[in-house]
Amino acid sequence: MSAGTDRPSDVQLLDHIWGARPGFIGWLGQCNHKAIGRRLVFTSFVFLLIGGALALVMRTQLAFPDNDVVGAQQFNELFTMHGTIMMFLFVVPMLKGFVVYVAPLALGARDMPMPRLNALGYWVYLLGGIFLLSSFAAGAVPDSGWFAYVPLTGPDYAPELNLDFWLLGVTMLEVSGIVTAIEIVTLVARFRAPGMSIFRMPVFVWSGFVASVMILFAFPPLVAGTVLLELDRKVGTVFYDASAGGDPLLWQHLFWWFGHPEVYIQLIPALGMAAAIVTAAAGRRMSGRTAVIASLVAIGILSFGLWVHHMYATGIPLLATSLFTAASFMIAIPSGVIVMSFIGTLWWGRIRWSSSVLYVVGFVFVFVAGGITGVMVAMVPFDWQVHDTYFIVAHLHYVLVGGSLFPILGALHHWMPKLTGRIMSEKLGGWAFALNFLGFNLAFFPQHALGMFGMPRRVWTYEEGLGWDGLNLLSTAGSYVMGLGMLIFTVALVLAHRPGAPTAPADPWGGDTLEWATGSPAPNYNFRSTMQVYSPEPLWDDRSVLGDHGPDGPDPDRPDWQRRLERPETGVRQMVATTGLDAEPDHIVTLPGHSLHPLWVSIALAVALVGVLIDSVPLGVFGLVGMIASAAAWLWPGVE
Amino acid sequence: MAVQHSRTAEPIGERARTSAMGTWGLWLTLTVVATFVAGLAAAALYLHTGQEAWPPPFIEPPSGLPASIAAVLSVLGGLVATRARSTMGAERRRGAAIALAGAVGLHTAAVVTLVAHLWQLPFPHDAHAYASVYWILTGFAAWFLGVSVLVLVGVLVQTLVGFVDPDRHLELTHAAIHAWFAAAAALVLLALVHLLPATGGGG
Repeated sequence: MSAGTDRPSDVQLLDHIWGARPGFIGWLGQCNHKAIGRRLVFTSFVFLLIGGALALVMRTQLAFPDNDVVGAQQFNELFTMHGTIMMFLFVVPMLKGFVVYVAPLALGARDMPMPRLNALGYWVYLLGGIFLLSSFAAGAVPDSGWFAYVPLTGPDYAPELNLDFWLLGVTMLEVSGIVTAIEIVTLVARFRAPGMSIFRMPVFVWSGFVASVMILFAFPPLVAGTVLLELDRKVGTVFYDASAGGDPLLWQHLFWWFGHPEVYIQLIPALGMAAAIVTAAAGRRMSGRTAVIASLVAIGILSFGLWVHHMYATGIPLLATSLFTAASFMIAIPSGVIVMSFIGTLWWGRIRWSSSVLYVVGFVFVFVAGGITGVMVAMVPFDWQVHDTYFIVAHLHYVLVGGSLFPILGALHHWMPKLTGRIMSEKLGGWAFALNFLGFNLAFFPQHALGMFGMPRRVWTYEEGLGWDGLNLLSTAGSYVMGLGMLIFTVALVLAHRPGAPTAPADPWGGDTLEWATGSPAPNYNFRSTMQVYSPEPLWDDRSVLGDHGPDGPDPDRPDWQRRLERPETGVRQMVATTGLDAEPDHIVTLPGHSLHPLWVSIALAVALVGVLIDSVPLGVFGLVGMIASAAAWLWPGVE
Repeated sequence: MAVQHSRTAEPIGERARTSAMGTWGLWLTLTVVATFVAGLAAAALYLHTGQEAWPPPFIEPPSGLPASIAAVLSVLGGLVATRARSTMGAERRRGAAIALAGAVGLHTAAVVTLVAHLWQLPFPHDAHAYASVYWILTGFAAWFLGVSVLVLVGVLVQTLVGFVDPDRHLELTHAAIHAWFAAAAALVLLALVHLLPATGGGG
């Protein structure tokens, strides 16, 4: 490793150019990846707490037979909003937030390639979330489950606004996901440090890239499905009306074409998080690194061939179900390769235990259990027996909590120094993990048995004497233990940011990737100098040039464009774009630094959708015109 | 797509070997919209193949002439937008502006043709799934062409005020690509409405 020393004037200049404008307007107009990434992470964490609170109310209702904490309608609303919040407002935005914050740093870049698009992704997400949750204030909470099956959600059975809130809100969240995915794919293709060829890219960035490509192909069909359903509800078309030539199963096809890849869109970046934690903790290269990357890609491809396994009970021809069973079995292979690689890396490394590593170990146990039950429900005869029972509730929570929540909690410990410059308490972290792991298994393991005993999912109460009482009480007790774990985690998060709390060093975990080569939190400009990468672990090799570090001073033979990036006399944000496979320097890009246009476009979109919601044509047209005007201003030449 | 025609990119060597950021954004956006169109197309095919009669016996299929006219206009719009780009490349800004105005006119005419056709349809959109497919797919074809009109108008204005010129005209290249995409999307949707074989006892 060789490098240079800071010339304070250069750093001050860079800091000024890449910093936010002062005041509230400056805060609103921030487009930098660190500001947007942090906002996504912390906003989605708030939504996690809200979704978790709804789950506790549900479990309280189910603790005893014939309970009346909430009524049937409220229970419908609770499980619908719990699922919707966790799937659309927590997991995907949280994972995207980490990719948006960490990936440019891990690639040696100064920002995302289209920062204003990045900001648009956040504002649309925030307004979409507010739009969905405002249904509580409007007294029209969505109540048909997070997958909104027709005909239950059609105009005949759901004539009120409940489902319109869901359809329009989810469409906004899909738009947010898509624009961020476009941003991440372009980032990976163009903004890698010189020398970081595609196979030297960190596994976490690979995972974000694969998930983003999946989003490009998984989300639009759901948007098509929700548009058609909203047209059925608002305009009177009959796409899903069987009595007029439509077909309710069309919705299931469109929904699960999105819905099953969505599970892996939630899993794959979390696997990348776990890979980053495991590598740093073991202090060695990921075992089978290439196989792990190939497996991430394989999961991404295979996940598009599984959607019908959610529809075994709909009368699909047996031959088709057999094909989807085979595809469902196949996905266990790359998943197994990844888990074995994690175990191998820890086995052959010298583990530095931390809260984040504990969460990865918890992930291995819980996710493997969820994967095994996944193989079970991939078999048609077994699926017919447990379809729509609590067995499925247990399975999906083992997959999603094990596969997404635990790695996310580990990642919050792991990257908090880089996000905010603070480090979370390991003591509180250990307690939180223990309670979360114990509470989760107490809450959800008994639900396998409840499903086998015939308890259907989504029932708001049950009679005494069906053999479900004790297991339900145990499950509720477990959910409270997990709730306590999440409370302690939140306290640790808040305490880490109290005034005077210890600050984190640049590289507290001995990490291998470029984000650990800069300060904690990362400075406005990320890196002063251009990196030159020679291996997948540039901080562990002795050849990669890491800009600010090392005793040798700047390379006197570096090209002129590097000097200009180190000292941008032009006063604009610039960075180098590289070629696709080999990451050779190609051109210098000038990026915008502050813009309110994304906010105006988002507000106009929300106004237009409110117009649709309340059947106000003038308001809808006003929003549409506002979007066009904002977009035109956005696209007017010139960098703000 | 030529980095040297972008106003926010500067090649390091004599010539950049890769596309500009905006070009990546454009192609990825078009990928997303194409997937959306594929979702609509899949829905239409699914409903079509699931019916004994398509269209149903009580609906007489309307004339395909307006859709054919709109299809021709949309392709011509793409061609003229491409012509605008090559004219700008040949350093004739005024000629490019005229061609752009022509592309705007052609795509606007296509939109007007489709909307007028929908206005005169003899069956309502809620008569049958066939009617819903007919209305909505034709409507989306008009929508995509309408977005193309907005994009072309935006670049035309930028050309007239001098922002887009022979040295910096990546926006014009993108607008031409988008015009072709809108034409292709409209063709696919209109073909699904008009060219799929009728089944069963329908007209």
